Amino acid sequence: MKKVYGTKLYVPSRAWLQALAAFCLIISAHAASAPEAMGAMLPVADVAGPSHSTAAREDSFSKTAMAETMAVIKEAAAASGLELLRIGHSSENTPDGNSLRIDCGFASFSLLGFCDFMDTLGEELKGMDAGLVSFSAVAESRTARAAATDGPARKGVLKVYTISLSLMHQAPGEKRKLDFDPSLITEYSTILRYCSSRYEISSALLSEHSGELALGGNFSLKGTKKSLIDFMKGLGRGFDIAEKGYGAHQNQLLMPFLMRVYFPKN
Amino acid sequence: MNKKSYGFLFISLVSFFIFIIVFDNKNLYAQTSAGDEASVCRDYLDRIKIAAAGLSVNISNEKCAISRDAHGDERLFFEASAGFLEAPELFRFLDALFEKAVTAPSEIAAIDAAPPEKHGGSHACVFSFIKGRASKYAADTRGSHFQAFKKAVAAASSEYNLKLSRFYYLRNGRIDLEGASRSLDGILAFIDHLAAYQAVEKFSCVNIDKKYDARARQFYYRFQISAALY
Repeated sequence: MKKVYGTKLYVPSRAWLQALAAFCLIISAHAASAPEAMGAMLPVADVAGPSHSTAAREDSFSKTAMAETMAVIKEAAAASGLELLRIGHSSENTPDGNSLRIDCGFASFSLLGFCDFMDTLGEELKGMDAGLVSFSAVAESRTARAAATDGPARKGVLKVYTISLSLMHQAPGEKRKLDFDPSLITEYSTILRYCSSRYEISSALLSEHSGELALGGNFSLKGTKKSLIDFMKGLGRGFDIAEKGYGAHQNQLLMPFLMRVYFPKN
Repeated sequence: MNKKSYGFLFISLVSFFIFIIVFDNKNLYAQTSAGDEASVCRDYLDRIKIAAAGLSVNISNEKCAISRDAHGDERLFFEASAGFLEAPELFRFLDALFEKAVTAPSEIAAIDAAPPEKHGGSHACVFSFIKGRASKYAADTRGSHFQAFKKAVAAASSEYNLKLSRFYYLRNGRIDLEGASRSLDGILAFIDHLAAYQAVEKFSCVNIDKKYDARARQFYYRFQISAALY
């Protein structure tokens, strides 16, 4: 410390000022190398990084759309007489968060109930960027006890359709197009309803990758190949029918067939 | 430079180095010996038992370990098992432990409640928490995550009549609930409730399956819901 000439004031000497400056430089360098210490003083939202309003919007869509879509599926199944066996969603199937995929399983004594379900679902999802991705309906023979449902008691061997279905629901404003046209659900229902009432359909599968609808059934006097070809004209992008020999069941001649219907993809 | 300047310079430098050593100290108990660490562990383990006293919660398998996080900072890790009959009793105990600052944890690591092994037996919950340098942990999210988890479990059992068999909370805000219900409507209503809940960021997994109870001769629905919290 040195005294200012002519006064009683003392000012720091040069060495003292240099030591003070070095102290301040070292403290600031240490603080710069410990960002977490600084971050702990900030609100959590700022520490997390830039605003994630877009991500929050996508997550909000996925959780609310999932709850609503599950409720729609449950109501449609109850109205159509389908027994809901399982329903589920996993974010692994839709990692981007902009779309929602729900898988469900049903049991039904008749494919007509499944057609009613598709019609109801098509109405509920109209206007939304949502629709069927794939489904499979396979007929199984079960004893009355194994086929117990909430409905009235039945006897003997029953034919029960085990149905699996996947729905995709896309966030509004999503630019990426779905692989399928959501309005095709009406066409699937029309074809399945006609065929199930005439041709003893044993299996119906909609492929997710190719968009093909494959139906396995039997021609008979009740439902002939000609009537099927006449019905299918104008539906889908095209179809082909492959017959697989013939057989007899309960004094009735049956001719198994496999029909594939092609639909356009986006 | 005179003697007074040298004196001020020397004192400043000594004070600076002492400050740096204390500020940059990564050892949580640098000023204490190994014997003091054991007494701190015993003290917190006693607090866990004190919090359970008077409640129908049985504490067992208490553990305390000193570990280091990714930054090399020391922290104390506590884990214990709690046997309980009803979820409200467990949360009363956890409230006493966490919220009323009996232990004031830096972070709740996990809460995992499993169904009883025998019919009519008590549930077993394994919970763990961490005591460390509080500045490193986001104190706001710790409290809100636990509250959100508690509200979800309470809503499931009291508002929607769901029988929870397992509920699970993991640090960083992950929750998992498993249970059963006679009514699918109740499960879907609960999912709707969680979807509307601000604390829930998104659902990781939702599965509902229809099962048949041969003993009661009734159908029921089993569910599993996993969600992430903000």
